[in-house]
Amino acid sequence: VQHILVPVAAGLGDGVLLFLVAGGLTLIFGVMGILNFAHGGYFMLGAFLGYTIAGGRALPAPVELGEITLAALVVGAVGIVSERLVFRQLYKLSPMNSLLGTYSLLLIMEGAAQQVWGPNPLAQQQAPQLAGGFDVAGTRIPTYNVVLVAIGLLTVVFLQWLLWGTAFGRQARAVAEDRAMAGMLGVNAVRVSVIVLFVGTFLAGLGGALAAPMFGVTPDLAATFIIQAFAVVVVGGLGSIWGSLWAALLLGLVDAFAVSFVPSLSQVALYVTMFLVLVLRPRGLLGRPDAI
Amino acid sequence: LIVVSVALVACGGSSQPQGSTSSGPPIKIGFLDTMTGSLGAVGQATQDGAQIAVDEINARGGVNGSKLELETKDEQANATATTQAMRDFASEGVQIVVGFTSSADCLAAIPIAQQNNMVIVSAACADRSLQTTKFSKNFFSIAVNTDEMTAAAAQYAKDKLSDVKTWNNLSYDYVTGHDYWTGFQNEMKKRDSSVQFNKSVFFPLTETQVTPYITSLLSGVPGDKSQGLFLSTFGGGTIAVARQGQPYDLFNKFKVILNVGGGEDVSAAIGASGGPITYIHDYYWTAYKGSINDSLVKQFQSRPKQGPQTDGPHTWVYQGYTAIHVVADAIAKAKKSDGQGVMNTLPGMHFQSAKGDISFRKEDHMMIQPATVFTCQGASSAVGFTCPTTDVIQPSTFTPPANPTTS
Repeated sequence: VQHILVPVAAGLGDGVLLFLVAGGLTLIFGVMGILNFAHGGYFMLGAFLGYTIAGGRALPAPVELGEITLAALVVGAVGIVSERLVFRQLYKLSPMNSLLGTYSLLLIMEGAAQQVWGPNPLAQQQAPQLAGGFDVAGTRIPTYNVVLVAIGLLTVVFLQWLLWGTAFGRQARAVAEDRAMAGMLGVNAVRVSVIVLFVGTFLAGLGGALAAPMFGVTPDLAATFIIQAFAVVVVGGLGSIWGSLWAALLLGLVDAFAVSFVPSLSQVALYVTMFLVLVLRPRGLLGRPDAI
Repeated sequence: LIVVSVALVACGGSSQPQGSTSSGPPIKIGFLDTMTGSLGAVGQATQDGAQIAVDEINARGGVNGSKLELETKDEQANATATTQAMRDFASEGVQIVVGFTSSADCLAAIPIAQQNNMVIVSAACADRSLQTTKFSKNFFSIAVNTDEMTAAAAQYAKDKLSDVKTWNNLSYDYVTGHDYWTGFQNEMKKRDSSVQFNKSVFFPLTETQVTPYITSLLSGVPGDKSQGLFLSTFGGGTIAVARQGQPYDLFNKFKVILNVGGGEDVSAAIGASGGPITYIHDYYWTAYKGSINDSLVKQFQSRPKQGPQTDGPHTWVYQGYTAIHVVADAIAKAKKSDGQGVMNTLPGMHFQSAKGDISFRKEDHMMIQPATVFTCQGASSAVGFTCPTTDVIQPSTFTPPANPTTS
């Protein structure tokens, strides 16, 4: 049991962070049709803002969760500004050009972060209540990983409600289906895009702020996480939120089990899994043309 | 004689007082280092040290009547950018270049130096091949190289940690990471045949989620604090290990965590909650006594800090500072400031540095110098850590024999 529980806890925690980035990425692609390469930049920004708001200090757990939420909200606001300044210019471009445009935005965000926070890795202290772990069947489970999984589940429930239980969700799905037709039917596609970008970048910022106490915060995080997030989106199926969730958890677990049982394959396990999924199911796990 | 000696040492060696005024044209020294990107802190701190040395030397009248001028270019941790910058220096008539973060970039720069009679005095290039298979008469390095570092770590383990008979490894999964662990094992076996090697885990340089690697490591460790951990990570990787190791009480599972590759910048980043890490590194500012070290520390503390936020000069600052003083001493001795003159003068030359007497070995240009040990842990100080224990390992106990194979 011990040999199984350890990689399960690590893989699920990693998977949730991946999902928070990939979920927003696939949401933006599903509704706006933009492959947002800059999305890793919002993750990085969330990590830096989390560090800055907390001042790097260990805060009590409720205060830390509040600080993380505040950082994510600020990142969401930056997302709205980005929509106004950058993304609105990309809607009419080809997917390749919009990809290049968002890649440029990623580089700008990395450079700006280095100017503001410097190139040295920063470390956010963990809340004392969340820094430890507890034992299950003789296996140490990190408390923070359990918090991450809980936040991941709450996020899924929230997105499910937002997209399938609200008027906004109906409008977003309509825009995803046919932007022009939705506009003719009275849906304000620009407003929908702004909200979608806010939600998507909020999720990335949330992931970054949650990740800040786990490792060194550097501008490199932007590029590191976007590559893995794209792998998740491809495996889950482009535009599918649920696909992203299952793919993120699958890839997180595959990576953790590979490290534990076949370390020599740990660096390729993620990509081998991606290859196998695409061979067996080219659209990804839950990919279909109308998926959100 | 004593008064004269003290005065000379206080002035930082033979390069310093050449008169109170300078009359000749300035001597341009190229400074090529990684000033931007994730390794930008290295170049910025090295430049800080180099500038302290230039200001110090110029305040005393310069060298041979000429003031020193640093001309900075960005290495970008990139061989192509390095090569271009070296060509630019050559076309501008700059024949002495100091700095460099990456050994790969040093290797890329050497052919340009050879073609143009330039001399390179690297601050941080530490790959052993630079003194063996890739040896060049145009190249010198201030850094303790990878072989020396692992030998110094083994020597310290034998001398001061003799009750640790089993060692484990957690390192980055790249060539230098593997070289460090292999080198440490070989050097330990030479010194103590009873030492055992237990669990070894490598993780990718860019990995952020290191929990599975930590649990894999701990699955083979008894956790009774009888064994040691050899850790050759640096920067964000060490922070991730410290943070994600907290729930597993990682640092308390070992009697000692011995780190090569990192430094107090890591303890500064980990902050108050960090457990003790014993670093084997080039330099730590409280480990050395003497007027040159005192001067470096005083000037560092009086200037705005670049790079890691530490109370005293980081190794990179020391390396930049020493590289300039070494060059200035060589110019003063050669009485000329061209690349060839400095290149011919440096081999076998002794210098008074912040670490005491150091020299470039004639055969392979390896710097004969002490290595430094310091143990840091989190504290509620302004910088978030303290390093109360330091030690110095003398070069006679770890420096390998000369073996250059290329010139």
